[in-house]
Amino acid sequence: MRNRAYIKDIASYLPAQKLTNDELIKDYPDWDVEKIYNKTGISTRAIAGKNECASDLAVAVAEKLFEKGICKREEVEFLILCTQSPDYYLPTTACIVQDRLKLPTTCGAFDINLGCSGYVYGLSIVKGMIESGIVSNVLLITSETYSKYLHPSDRSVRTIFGDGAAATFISSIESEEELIGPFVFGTDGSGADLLIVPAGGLRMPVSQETGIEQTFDDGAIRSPQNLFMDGAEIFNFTLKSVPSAVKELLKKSKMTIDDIDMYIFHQANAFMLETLRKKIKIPKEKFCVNNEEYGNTVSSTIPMAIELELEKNSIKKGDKLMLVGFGVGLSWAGTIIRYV
Amino acid sequence: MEFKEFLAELADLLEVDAEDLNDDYELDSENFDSVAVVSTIALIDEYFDVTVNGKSLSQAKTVGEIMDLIKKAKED
Repeated sequence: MRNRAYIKDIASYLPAQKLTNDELIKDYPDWDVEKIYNKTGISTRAIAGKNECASDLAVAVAEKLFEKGICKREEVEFLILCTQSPDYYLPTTACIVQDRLKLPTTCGAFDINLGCSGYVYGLSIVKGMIESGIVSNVLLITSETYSKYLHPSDRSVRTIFGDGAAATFISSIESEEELIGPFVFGTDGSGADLLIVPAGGLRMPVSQETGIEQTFDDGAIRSPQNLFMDGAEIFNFTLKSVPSAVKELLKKSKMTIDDIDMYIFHQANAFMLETLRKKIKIPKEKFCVNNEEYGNTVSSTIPMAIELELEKNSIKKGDKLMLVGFGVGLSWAGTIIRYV
Repeated sequence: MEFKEFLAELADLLEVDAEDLNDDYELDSENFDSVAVVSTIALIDEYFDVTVNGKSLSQAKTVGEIMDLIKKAKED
């Protein structure tokens, strides 16, 4: 028996403005939006307002979490914010969120810069902090506004990505068995160029040149200041990395595919998920696909999916969930959590 | 055997009859767009357990060239 980290509650938040498939047809009348829906499984994505940044979504989702009544803001000892669209280079967006949420000033806070693998990485940090006795209650927020990086004429990425945030309260409880863990990690920086916003950082600062748009073979228009994603190569990467991460994780936890009650992967798009499901041979009823109303909210897809499954009552006490995040970096991570 | 099944599914993907699909069948950006390329990657992985580079695949002019890419990937 010892103190173990566990997920106490989750809340999610979507900005008010929505981008539906019908609206996409208006922008791209020669495009087969039906086919895209069949491939991606997405019908709506939320888009942050012009003046709505990652900190705004983070504050909104945390307030939603506190309103649910299971977690109180005074209990928060540490805040971790996962985002790749921070309000500023500095100061840390988590510090701004601490202030706006009126979290105790005795709280620790920092940002982590990760995308689709961010939630699982975040859980690994929180577990380490709690089970080593550093703190007992941590607020992990994932908050992303990728829409601000997309060129309005880059239809493939506009179809996929949605903005949103999720807040997860992780606390400590006495337990015989591990409630979060073990973990597997993966990093392959050789794929850095496959999902990138080339300009705007310090490697290629914003200039007149970086604003110059180019039209590409597939009809997409973008400048170095816009997000670029090589869909096919990212797909190849996930086909290679995710099945072996799942295998490694089962080995590490001494479990079989059947021991897991539900698989919640990063909700990239329905086609990729179905291909992975078939490849790893996960039964359909144990495999979560619920990105239809959100799109790809990057690091929030996994907590949002967990919340949706809890609302549907498809998760019961004692269930083992396998979470696997993968994407930009290239970065990936997997873990097993037990629903308490 | 698996080639035949693969070609049948590829024909489905390209929205043509399986009988019309041979090595000379021409691919263009209309019948072989980015969605078709990604679907083909998945199909190749499922049938042959190899990965084919997306860019090379999208530049294939005929079905025969796709088959060459698969053979090359299997040899590597």
